[in-house]
Amino acid sequence: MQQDTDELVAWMDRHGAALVLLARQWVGSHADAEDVVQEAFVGFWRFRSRVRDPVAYLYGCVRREAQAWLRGRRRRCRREQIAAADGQPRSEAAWCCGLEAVEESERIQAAMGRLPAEQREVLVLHLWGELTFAQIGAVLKVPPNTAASRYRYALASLRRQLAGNGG
Amino acid sequence: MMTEESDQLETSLRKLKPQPMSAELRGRIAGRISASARARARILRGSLMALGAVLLVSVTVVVAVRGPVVGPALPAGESVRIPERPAEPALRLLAARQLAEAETIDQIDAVLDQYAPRWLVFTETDRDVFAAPGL
Repeated sequence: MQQDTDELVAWMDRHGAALVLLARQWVGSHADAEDVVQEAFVGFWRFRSRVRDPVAYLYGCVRREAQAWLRGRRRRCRREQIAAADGQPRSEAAWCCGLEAVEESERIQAAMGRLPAEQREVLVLHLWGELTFAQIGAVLKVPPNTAASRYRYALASLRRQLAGNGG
Repeated sequence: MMTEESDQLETSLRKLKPQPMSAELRGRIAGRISASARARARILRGSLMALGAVLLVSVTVVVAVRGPVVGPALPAGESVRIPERPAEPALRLLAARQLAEAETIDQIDAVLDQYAPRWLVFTETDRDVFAAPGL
C-alpha cells in the first residue's frame, strides 16, 4: 500500500505539471484542466500495469478526457447559447516564473494560443512532457514523423509570431 | 540559421516551467484512487462470498441427493468384529461414537485399529449405538 502511494506521488511529481498544461491546451481554465487531469489519472492508475507504454498512455488518457470535456462543454454552450472560444487557453498563467519573465511567458502563452491545437499539443508533449516523437505518435495515433513535423511547424510558427511582436 | 533560431527558441521554451500540480489536486487524485481501490476490494470480497455460498449450496444439494461420496459404501449385511476385552468406560464410549459416525469400511477399520490394542469391550448397547443402517 505504501509502495503504491510512493509510486503515485512519483508519477504526480514527474508528470503532474505537464499533464495540467496539456489539459489546458484543450479546456482553457486551470480549474477545468485540473478536473480533467483528475479523471484521467484515476482511469490511468487502474490500467497502468496492463499497457506497453504507461507514460504515453497517461498523456493519451488526459487528451481523451480533455476532448470529452470539450464535447460536453460545447453541448452545454449550445444549450445555453453562450459564445465561447473553445480550446483557446485563457489568460490565467500557465507557467510559474519570476516577475522578470512574466511578460515573456505571457507572450509565449498568447502565441501558443494562436497555434493549431494539433501543433500546440505536440509542443507541450515534447517540451514539457518530455515524450519522444514515437511516444507522441502513440498518444496522438499518428506516425512519429508526423509528430516531428508538427513540432517543427509549431516552432517555426512561434518564432514568426514572437519576432513579429518584437521578440 | 533557422536551426540555430529554433534551438534558441526551444531552449527558452524549456526554461518555462509549467505550474506545478496543486496539493489540492494531488489530494483529490489520491483520495479518488484510494476510494476506487476500496470499492474494488469490496466488490471482490462480495463476489468471493457469493461464490462460496453457491458452492456450499451446490455441495449440500449434491450430498443430499446422492449421499456422501467418501470412500466405498459398507456392503449390506457385513458385520464388524469388535474385540471382547476390558476397557475404560470413557474410552469405550469414545470408540463407540467414532464407530457410529464411521460410514465406510475403511473408517471402521481405522477406528478398530486405533482402539483394539486398548482391550476394548463393547456391550450390546454399544453395538446398537454404532450399528449403522445397512450393517
